[in-house]
Amino acid sequence: MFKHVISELKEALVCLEAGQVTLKYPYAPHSPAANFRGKVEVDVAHCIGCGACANACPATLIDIKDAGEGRTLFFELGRCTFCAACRDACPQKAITLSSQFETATPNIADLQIRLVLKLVHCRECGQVVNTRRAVDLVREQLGRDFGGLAWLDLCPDCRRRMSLQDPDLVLEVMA
Amino acid sequence: MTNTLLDWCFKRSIWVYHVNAGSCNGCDIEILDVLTPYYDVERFGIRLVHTPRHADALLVTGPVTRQVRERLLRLYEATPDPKLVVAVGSCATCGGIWHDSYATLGGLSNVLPVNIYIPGCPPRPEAILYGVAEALGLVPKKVAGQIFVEA
Amino acid sequence: MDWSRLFPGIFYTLVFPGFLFTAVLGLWVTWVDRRITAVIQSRIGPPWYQPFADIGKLLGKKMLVPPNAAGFISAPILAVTGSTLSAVIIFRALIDPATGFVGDLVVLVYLLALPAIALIIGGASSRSPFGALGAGREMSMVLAYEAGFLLSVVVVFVKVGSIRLADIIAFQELHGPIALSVSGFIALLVALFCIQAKLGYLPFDISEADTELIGGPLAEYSGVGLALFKIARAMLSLIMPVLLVLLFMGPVLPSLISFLGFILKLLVVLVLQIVVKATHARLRIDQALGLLWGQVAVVGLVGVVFAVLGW
Repeated sequence: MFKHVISELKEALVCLEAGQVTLKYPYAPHSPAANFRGKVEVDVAHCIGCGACANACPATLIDIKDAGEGRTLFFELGRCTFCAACRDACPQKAITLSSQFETATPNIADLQIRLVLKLVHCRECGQVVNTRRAVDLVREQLGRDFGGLAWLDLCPDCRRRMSLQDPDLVLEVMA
Repeated sequence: MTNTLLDWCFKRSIWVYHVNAGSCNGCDIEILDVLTPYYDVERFGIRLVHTPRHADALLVTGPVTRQVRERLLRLYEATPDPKLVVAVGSCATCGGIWHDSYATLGGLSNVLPVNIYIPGCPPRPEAILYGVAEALGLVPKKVAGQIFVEA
Repeated sequence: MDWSRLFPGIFYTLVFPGFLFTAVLGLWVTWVDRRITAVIQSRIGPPWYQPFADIGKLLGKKMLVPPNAAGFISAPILAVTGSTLSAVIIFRALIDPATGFVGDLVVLVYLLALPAIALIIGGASSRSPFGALGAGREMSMVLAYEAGFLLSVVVVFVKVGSIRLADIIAFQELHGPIALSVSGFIALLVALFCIQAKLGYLPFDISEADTELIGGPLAEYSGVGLALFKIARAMLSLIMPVLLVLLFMGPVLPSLISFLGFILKLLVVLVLQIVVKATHARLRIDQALGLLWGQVAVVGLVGVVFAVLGW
């Protein structure tokens, strides 16, 4: 029994070798590693409302609805698992995962992001074509002036119908 | 005077009781990490207790499964007032990945009145520490919701 | 009714050196305990006001009482009463030896058993299986450590020839510390083991094990009841080392050197207890009983035999 006591007391001396291992955390900020995945940040200037992030999210926390004049993207970040699938899926690199990890809050509304983007409706039938930003992006990417790219504000069904009535529309695109 | 004194004592001495309400144990391991000498929460008066009767704060992890709901309510009633309920992790905050599952109740707010949510999958030990300090009013909130309407 | 002795008596019991003085110093001793444990565990540890914040917080919480629990509320009061009265007897003997009475050591031993009995009563009336189990284990532990403790007190009694604390202090003034004789040294070792068990320190804290028994007898206590138990425990953690130093380690004279020596011896005993507490694992109930009855009590008997033989 005594040998046990002595060995335990020797162990206490060994523990003293380590000194004090406590991190300085609350009194000095903690900066995580460079590729740390923290809170999701959406760059509202670049988002085109395509919905690729909503498709990719495993927690299905991104909800996209069209209503009237606007497309609403609603991020319920309380459910986020920080997998960054949304960041990898976004074609405009509008989603980043910051290094913010101190995200505690008494109110879940502080963890929500709501974006409302204007829609473009088909000039023939009134159906939703896409968001205005997406249509502008297509116009910019195509670069040339295809007769004013008048078919950009037609929905896919009306585009098919119009191309039957006006074959030049198809030839323009294929040129 | 006694009220301010008791408030001061409550802020300086929080005994936590950990409840796993169906969690995958990721958040439980991070809670264990907070209680190690690296973060030394005894400096702030935080101590782990093993019975809800001694507890001031319930740290609940996991989206509440149907089986655990009744036990969770009994634990809540067994804890004497004043008490804090802390939802740790994305599952307890909003149901996490399981928010639309048939076997869970979609987050702690559907079962108990929650004082603070600490999202994360799992939240870092620093984030848990920050959340408990925020629940006591010692540090400010750092997140806010974002609303943008295109003109 | 002798009013001139009643009011000082109330003051001695409630303020100095009774309840208030011993409670504050005892809580400070628990802070020293937590700080030294933190150093051994390579971390910082709580600030100086932590035990007082803990007690203040507990006083502000609602106490939930199980229905039809007879001894539940009176048990913490019994524990604090036992600790307070023991503190009064010991400290009054230290400060003013003339106020002792014949047999006050025996009364002291009985009073020091009260907090453990209060724990048993509280646990048994908790209406919870953890409380009942903890109460049963505490009963076994009391039988085990009281045997060794009484044997070491008997050694002191045999050597001094009187059971008055003032006489024990006077004896050590004449003949030096009792621990310097063979039987006295053996009795000191036995007493150290038994006091570690009496205070519920590791390795003997099986009855109040947090991880095994959810706090044992204290499982159902909350609020004021828990605060009183913790205060009683803190007071005991001050009184027992003081008793040990008084019985075994020499006289305490009213001079500065002697007083500083007393503080130093007290700190040595405290640090020894805390370091053993922080580095040992918990013994099972059968291991603890086997140790305390089989080895410690036998050594105590040997010490008594040596004392009778004059060594």
